[in-house]
Amino acid sequence: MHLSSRAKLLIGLAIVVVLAAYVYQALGPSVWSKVTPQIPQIFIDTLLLGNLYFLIAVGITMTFTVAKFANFAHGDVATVGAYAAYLLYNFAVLSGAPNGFAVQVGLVGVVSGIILTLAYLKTKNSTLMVLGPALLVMGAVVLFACYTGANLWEATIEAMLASAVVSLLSHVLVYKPLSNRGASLVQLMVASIGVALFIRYALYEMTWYSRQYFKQEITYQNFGVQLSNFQAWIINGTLVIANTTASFASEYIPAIKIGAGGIAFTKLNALDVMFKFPQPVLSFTDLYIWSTLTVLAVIIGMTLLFKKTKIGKAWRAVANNPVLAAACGIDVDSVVNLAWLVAGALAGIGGLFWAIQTQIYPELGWMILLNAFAVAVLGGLGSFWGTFAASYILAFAEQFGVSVLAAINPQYTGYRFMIPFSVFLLVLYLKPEGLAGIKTRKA
Amino acid sequence: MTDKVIETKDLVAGYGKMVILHGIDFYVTRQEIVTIVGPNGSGKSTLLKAILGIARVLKGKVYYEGKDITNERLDKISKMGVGYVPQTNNVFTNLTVKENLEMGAYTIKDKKEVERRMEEVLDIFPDLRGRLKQLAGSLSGGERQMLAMARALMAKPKVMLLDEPTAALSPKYVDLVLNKIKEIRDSGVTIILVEQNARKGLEIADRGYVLVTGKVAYTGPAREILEHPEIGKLYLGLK
Amino acid sequence: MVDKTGLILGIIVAGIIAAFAAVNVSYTLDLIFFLAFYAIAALSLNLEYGYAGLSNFGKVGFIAVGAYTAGVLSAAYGVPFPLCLIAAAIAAAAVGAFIAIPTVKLREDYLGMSTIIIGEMIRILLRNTPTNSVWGGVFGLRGIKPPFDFITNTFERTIAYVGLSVVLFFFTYILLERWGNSPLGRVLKSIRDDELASKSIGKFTYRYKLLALTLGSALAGLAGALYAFYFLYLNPDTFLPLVTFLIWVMVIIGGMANNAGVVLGTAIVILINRLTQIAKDYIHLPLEPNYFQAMLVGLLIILFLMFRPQGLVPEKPVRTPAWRVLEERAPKEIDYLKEGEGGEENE
Repeated sequence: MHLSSRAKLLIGLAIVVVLAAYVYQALGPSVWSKVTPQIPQIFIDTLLLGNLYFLIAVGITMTFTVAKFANFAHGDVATVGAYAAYLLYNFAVLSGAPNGFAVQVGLVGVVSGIILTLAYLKTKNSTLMVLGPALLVMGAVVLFACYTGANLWEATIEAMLASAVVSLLSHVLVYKPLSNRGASLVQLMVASIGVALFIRYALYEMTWYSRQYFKQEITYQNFGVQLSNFQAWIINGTLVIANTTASFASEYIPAIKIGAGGIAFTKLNALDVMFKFPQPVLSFTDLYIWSTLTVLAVIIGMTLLFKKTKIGKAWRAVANNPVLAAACGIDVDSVVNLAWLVAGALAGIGGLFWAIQTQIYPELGWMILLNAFAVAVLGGLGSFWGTFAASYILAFAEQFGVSVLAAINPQYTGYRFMIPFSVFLLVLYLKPEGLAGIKTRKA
Repeated sequence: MTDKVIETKDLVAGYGKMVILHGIDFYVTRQEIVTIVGPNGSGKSTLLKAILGIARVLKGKVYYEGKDITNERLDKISKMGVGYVPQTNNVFTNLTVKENLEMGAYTIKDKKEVERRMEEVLDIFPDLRGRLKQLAGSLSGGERQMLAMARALMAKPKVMLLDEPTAALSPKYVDLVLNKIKEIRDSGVTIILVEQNARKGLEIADRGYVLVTGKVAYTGPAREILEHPEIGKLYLGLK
Repeated sequence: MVDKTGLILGIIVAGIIAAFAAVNVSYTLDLIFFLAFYAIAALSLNLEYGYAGLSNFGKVGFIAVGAYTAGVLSAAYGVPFPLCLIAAAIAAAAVGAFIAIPTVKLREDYLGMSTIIIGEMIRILLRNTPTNSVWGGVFGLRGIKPPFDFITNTFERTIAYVGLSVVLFFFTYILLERWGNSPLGRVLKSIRDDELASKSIGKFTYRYKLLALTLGSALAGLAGALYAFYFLYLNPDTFLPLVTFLIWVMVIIGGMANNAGVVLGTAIVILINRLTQIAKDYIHLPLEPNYFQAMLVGLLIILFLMFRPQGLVPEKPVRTPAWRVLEERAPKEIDYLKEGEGGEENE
């Protein structure tokens, strides 16, 4: 009965492979002939979905490393950022004039930011040190956007700061006092659920308020960002990527040709593209590019932070051994605050991207959170690179699975949520310590 | 008597509701090695932790160079020049040896000063020199102890608190570690040593405290305790 | 024998229910059914969290499994009512064991994250069942055969059904009270407080945790079946995660590992819910009351954990024969021990 964990893993994997082969056989060529041509598209969709998963899950990993519990409020922290960005982007300027309400919000932000910053100068409290300037900048951005018109950059800043502030506050007001009182791990998790419920239904309350008093529906709305569509073809061995958004507006659309002869910029005839070109191999939007660049920046930034800077090394030290870190003179509270802040900021940008890709509604973060938990567990809870790999593995499983489901019967795509969850269950049975566990065994 | 680096007065301390120390008067003067010995559970480690603000002080005071540091935060105390080497978990296992040493010098702002300091510390612990790139988690017990002391030394502490540095070490390392402690003292650092191995601990010490059930049972020059006919037999398993 | 705070609050709760009964009987019957339903669910969570320290955040999923098992068996196959109840408990227990086997060995986080995912997974799965099948998908499951259909008067039938629910609640309560004071309950508590120590005295902590989660799930399944036969209609979207956390609030407010406290907590939460529903018709706040209630749930969780983690009615020492003897012969020492357990009030 008692199998070694490696034997269990191998047997499990063997069963999975047999099952997969069976499914492959059972589905037959009629399904696979529909899936195979989509494979390039599946990969590029995996990239987007993986990016979005990573931006949320990495924050769970970060707070897990310093606070040692799974934060169930992380998804809702992301929703806050998404809403902050959404409101700024759509309502800073109303019918050509600055929105009076937004101006007030901005002023309150600036004033309270200044007060808190001054309070910090008096008390030297490490929370106020962050909170004051953050509110100040948020308020200033709102005011700026009201008079110049909001753009996506401002919305991004707002999302990051809003989520970071909420994340930090949840730590300072709830989790820190609780763990100082010796709360157990389960109690901390339950408390984070309390925070999650509070945030989520406060947002619901806000949407209700907006509907009731401003006659403005802000649930299940599109974000309103005009994304550019790109499509790619392989023609005579050359990869042609064109921005097809413009094809209805102008005669020629810009394109890039990448082939053996090098890279060249050209212009394609819009009508040709619309009527004569074959089905594109790939199609993607701006968001694919933005999210990839963001993830790259996060990875490079995090690597530099953890390997090269003093504060990053202190962060790792605190995660490993807080008492010893304090004995080195490291201000543990500040480092932990920083972790919550960074996790929140990343959640904010992740929430913003999710909202742009799908829709905005108060339940958004909660819906992402469950997938992000699957990612975090697959990544081995607390491992940075494990989380990174897990994001794309789960994303691929989901995208591939959806394509197969759609090929069998388009109605089955409703089961897409089951795919990451099933992978999660599988991991739990076969390799509960996740991907990080595989790495440590080799080391 | 003005030269007391650390002093506690009528210290009552413990964890949560549990009181472990019942009124300890303790002091250490400059460049002294003071060894605290006593049976298991007598509160030796708790005394160190109460000084450092890790265990909660319920009554009494802790002074560092005449300044009240009772229940002060550990990072602030260590910035004042108090080094601490815990008994277990005394290195950052996920950091390399070099990074561990850098963390020790966290409070030193000047990078060149850190490098100079690292050279000095590595001269005291030459074994670490070849392992700078290695993860601290992969070191042996004795090497970890060396690294832990080296790390504490990086911050140029005025006083070092060592919690059972020889516990669970092979005999070869026990003498080595104790010799290093003497060496560190000779370089001008005051040492408070908690030691399970009473004989060895007292042999390098100037003075000693015998703690029994949270109270000071005896204090005096280390030699006196070692040669005391009853104390050794009663509490320390010395013959 | 009853704790003073608990006694006072219990009297208040009973008074409010009596007042309801004087005004509107069928409303009170509905209230009593909900009390019984939630109390069974909360007691089952108390077995898992209060006694064994297991963080089951997917309670609603197990309730849904019970409800749909009973519903489908009754609607599609005409299985008699008592058999449906039993089948529901078994099905939920099986799901509970399935999720418990890989997770109870791991840290609490894994169980928490897994159960919350399982709970949602069950709901999404139910949502996506074909709408033309008996499951009904988003349109819900209809056609559950009403129990006690030999009683022709609907009002009397409701009374009979609510009565049965209350009986099942008492059955659950007595069962858990006995378990709690039996060696099983003591072992579970010892695992919760110090798993290593209970392992070292030769207890298979893994098996006990598995048992607690399976039994807890079975009871949740039973509650779900009761729910199905009360409404005779099931919709996946009634089984939202919020229900799970409502149950958690009941346990946290009531006091963990104290069954009487948990029942009291259930009554308090449900009465607050009902009273605010009524108040909504008379008081107009610039707030949407349902959302506000959910915010309150979150806030209550945090505040109770922070300021009264032991709940309104704190945990009592286990009643064993030895304890009884001690109470008679050494009342002073017993008081000291009780303080050590975190109790404040004298009995």
